[in-house]
Amino acid sequence: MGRDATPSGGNVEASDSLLVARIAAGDDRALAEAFDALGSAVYGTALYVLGDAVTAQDVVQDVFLDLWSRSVQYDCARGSLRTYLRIRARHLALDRLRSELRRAGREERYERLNPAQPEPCPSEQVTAAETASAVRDALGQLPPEQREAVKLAYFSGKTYREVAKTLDISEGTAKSRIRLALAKLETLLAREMQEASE
Amino acid sequence: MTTDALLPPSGLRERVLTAARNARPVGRPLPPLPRISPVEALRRAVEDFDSLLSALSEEQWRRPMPIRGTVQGVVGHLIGVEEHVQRALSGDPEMADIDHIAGTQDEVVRQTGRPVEQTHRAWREAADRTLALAAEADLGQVVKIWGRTLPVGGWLIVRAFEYWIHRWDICAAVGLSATIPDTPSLRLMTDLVARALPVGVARVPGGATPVNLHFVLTGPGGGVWDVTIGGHRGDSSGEEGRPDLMIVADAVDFCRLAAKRLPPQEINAHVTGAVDQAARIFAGAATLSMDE
Repeated sequence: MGRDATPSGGNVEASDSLLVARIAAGDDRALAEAFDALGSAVYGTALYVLGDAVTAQDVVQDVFLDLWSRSVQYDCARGSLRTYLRIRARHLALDRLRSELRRAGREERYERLNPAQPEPCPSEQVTAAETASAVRDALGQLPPEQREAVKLAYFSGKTYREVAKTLDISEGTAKSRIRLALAKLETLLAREMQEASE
Repeated sequence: MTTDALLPPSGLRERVLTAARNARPVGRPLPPLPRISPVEALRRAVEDFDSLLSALSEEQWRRPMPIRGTVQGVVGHLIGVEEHVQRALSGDPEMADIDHIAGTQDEVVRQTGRPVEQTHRAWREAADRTLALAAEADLGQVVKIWGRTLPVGGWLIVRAFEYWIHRWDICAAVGLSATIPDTPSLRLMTDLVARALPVGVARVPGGATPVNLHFVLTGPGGGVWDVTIGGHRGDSSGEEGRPDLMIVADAVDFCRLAAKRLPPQEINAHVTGAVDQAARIFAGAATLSMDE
C-alpha cells in the first residue's frame, strides 16, 4: 500500500514538500505546524540581524505570511524549508536595516540643508542622537573605500553609476564596495543595538 | 547561543496565523481560481469530449473497452445518460430510480455498429439539449436520479466528472495521453466528492464510527475540508479542535479513486491520526461512482 501512516523524520525533503503542498491547498494547520517547527529559527535569524525584538517579530510575521501567500515559490529540490525561511528572514531583516540607514541618511541631509528646526523634545533628541551616533561610529569602522561609497550612495543620494563615476571605478566595483559595506554595517549596528538593549 | 534557541514571544504564533487567515481564507488554494458555474463546467466538459471524438478514426471508435463494449458503446451510454438527465429535469418520476448502467443498455446496443458520424452527431445533439435545459434550470432545485439525490447544480458537476472519466477511459483504450479538466472545473468536482464523503462512507459495511476528518487535496483542484463522518462525535479524549484523522492526497488521484479508476489500496496518501479509519474513507469514496 503506497501510504505512509506518519511523517518520516529522516526524509526532510518529502516532509517539507508535503507541508508546503498542504499550505498551497489552504491548510492553516500546516502553516501552524511550520511555525511550531521553524518559528524559533526564523525569529532567531531576524533578531540576530536587527537586534530589536519588536522589529524581529514583524519580520517573522512577514516571512510566514509570504509562505502562506506564495508557497508555490518554494522548491524543495533547492534546499530545506528551514533554510528557505531563514534566508527569507535575513533578506527581510536586511531590507529593514537598509531602510533605517536610508532614513538616517535622509535625516542628516535634511538637517544639513535646514539648520533652523523646531527644538525636538528631550527624548526625541536622545533617540535621534543615539541613532546618528551609532551610524557614524559604524561608518567610521569601515575601510575608507567602502565608507566613501556608502556615503555617496546613501547620504548624497547617488546611483551606483554616479558613485562609480565619482570614484573613478567600475559600476561593478561600486556595487561590490557598497554591498560589503552594508554587510559590515549590519553586523556592527546589530551588535551596537544588542549592547544598547542589555 | 544559536539562533534556534530563541523562542518566539508568546502571542506571535496566533498573530501570524490570524494575519494569514485574513490574507487568504482557509481552504482557498493557490494559485487563486476564478469561480465558474456548474453549467460552464459541463459546457467545457462537453466541448473537450467533442474534441476527442472528432479526433478519433473509425477504427478507434470500434476499439474494445473494459466497459460498454467499445468506444462507440461508451458514447451510446452517454446518449442514454443525457436522456435520463433531460427527463429528470423535466420532472419525469421514472428517472428517480432508473439504473445508470442498465437503463442505457438499449442505447448502447442501438449505437454499436452504426456509422460513427451518426453516433457522434446524436451524442452532440443530446448533450446540447441538456446544456440548453441546464442554462434555464434552478441550480438549487433538488432532483433524484439513479437512486441518488442532489441539487441540479451538483448533477451538472457529476455530468462533467463523468465526461472527464470516460474521456480518460477512451484515451487509455486508443493510446492517447489523458488530460485533466481545467482547474476551476476540477475544483468543483473535488468539492463535490469531499462533501459527499459522509454519504459514501455510510454505504460501507461494518458500522460507522464517528470520525472528524481533516481532508486535504493537493495540486490542481485541491483544497481543504473538515468533514464529520458518521454523525457528531461526543466529547473526545483528544485536544479540542484537533481532528481524529487527517488524509492528504493528490486531487486528481482521489477523483480517480472516487470514479473507481484507482483502487483504494493504490492511492498514495499521507494519513495521520486514526489511521485504521482511512480504509473506510477510501472505500466510501469509491461507492460514489455509478460505474461497476
